[in-house]
Amino acid sequence: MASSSSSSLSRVVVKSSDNNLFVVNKKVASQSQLLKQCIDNMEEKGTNDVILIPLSNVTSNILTLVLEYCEKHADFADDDNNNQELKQWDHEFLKKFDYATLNSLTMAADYMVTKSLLNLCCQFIADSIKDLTVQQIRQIFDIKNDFTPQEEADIKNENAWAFR
Amino acid sequence: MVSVDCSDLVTNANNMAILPLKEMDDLEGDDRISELPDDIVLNILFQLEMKEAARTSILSKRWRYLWNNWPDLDFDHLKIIPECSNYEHLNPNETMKYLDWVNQIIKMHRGHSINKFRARLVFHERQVCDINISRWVKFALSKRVKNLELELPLSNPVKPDLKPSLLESGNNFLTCLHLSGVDVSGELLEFVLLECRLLERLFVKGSRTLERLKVASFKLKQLSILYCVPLEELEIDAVNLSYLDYAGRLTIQFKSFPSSLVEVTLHGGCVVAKVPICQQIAGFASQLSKFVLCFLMYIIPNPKDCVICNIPAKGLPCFSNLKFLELSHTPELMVDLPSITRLVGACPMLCEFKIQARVLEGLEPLEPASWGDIYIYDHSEAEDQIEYKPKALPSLRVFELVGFRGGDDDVNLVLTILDMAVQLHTVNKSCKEA
Repeated sequence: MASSSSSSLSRVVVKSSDNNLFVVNKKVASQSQLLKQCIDNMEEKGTNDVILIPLSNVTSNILTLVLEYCEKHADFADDDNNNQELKQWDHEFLKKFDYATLNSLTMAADYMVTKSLLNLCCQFIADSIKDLTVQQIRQIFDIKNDFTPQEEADIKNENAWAFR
Repeated sequence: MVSVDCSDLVTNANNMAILPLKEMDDLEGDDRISELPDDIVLNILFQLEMKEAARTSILSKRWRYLWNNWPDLDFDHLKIIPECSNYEHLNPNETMKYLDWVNQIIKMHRGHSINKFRARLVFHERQVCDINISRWVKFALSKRVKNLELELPLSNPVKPDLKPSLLESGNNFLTCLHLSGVDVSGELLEFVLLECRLLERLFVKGSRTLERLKVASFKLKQLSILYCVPLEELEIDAVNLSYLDYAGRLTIQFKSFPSSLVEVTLHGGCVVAKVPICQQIAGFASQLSKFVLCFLMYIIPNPKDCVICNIPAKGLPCFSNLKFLELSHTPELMVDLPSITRLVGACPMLCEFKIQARVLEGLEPLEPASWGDIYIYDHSEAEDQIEYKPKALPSLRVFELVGFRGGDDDVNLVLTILDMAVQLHTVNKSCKEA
């Protein structure tokens, strides 16, 4: 492998925070700007070795999900026509997760600079809290109400138009 | 970064392998939205509606001021006042409520930049508004606003002092400026065009102080100049202009050829009044892909009359690349059938043809005095109708008729179009109470 005739890399190895290795082909990895940057840097140096990219913030279960997403999107990268199909897939993909997983996935997407996944997650979370009451949102996200009743009344008053 | 030998790794069919295979960790259940960093929480927040975002201020202290970074400030009067059919008779308190609403939110705003600032008022007291609007514009520009939109009732335009704000703003990030019911002068607009190098869209409607305007811009892509009554001179020098929307009685002077122009919307005044449609666009008719012709008139001499408009055959240019044609008219204002067939016949590549009868919204009316007689088409000028033989429309696929009333005129129109269109596969008719 070390002396392949091609000067560009075809695959990279990504290491999760819990020390699992993932072999990822370049097109898939390029969906993440972080991985893409690493690959570009190595290619500039003219290395033919497979590189290892450690991701200290992403556990393997979450990394699996990010890579699943990247793989699907890499498949569709050259294809504008299947937008609808991809959107459907995105939705089905996220629907499976609980909020805890969704949160970790969002953070991983942010860390790995996979902007489309980050926006997708944010949109999904936003859509799911849209119709909830303040109390429900607090419950689902475990947000502790640290206002006094007086403070709460003041805020309601301040933004009265939104609480009508 | 460490190099590893890839040959030891087992690759699965998807080119993705997990090695060594360890047990998946159980998903930790403690992560919650509040543990996300601020920029991600903001990203989530920005996907909500403004009202929903404002409600998050009550969740907890951490959330208290997050929403004050809101980047799309859209202040629509209609969202906070009770529904009613005639806004002119609304309690003046409703204007004060609106002003308080806007002022409160911009006072609390903490973001460095905003995408959009839109103020839409359905009625107001002018004196109160002028000063507030000047202040809002100043605020928006200080926040590096990209889209600045002021929509005020045309019957009562405001005259805010915008120039000082524009002068002070220094670095200008404005890409879209929309002024409806705002009295601006040509001098100010020319200043904006000169200073705001990123400006791509300019929309001016119902200014009573716009007399002369020279639009000179390299960046400008969309230009709308609508119902600016005193306008005596309009010159356009914008090579990248792709969309033009114009309602007025002047012939537009093009200083440079608008080679990027592909979409044009023309409104009543310039069609039925002094300047015939052909002259207005003859120079570039062949490059257009979309053309919309609006015969919209709010006040007609006698509401029971139906005014018939006519598009003369003489000098009608060939729209050799036109794909989409739309005719909009109010129910009282009809375009006669020979005119329609003539126009359609001049578009050999037409794919979609839409004709719609629109009822003007209460917010749109123009004062009759401001337009006088320029809107009224003079029947006597109609040329002798030569027997017109409809041309075939080989490319027409979609024909849409909105506001179909089933009268003889409508039926004739449908039959004529069906006769011309050999490839037609979709006919949409929607009937509205007219």
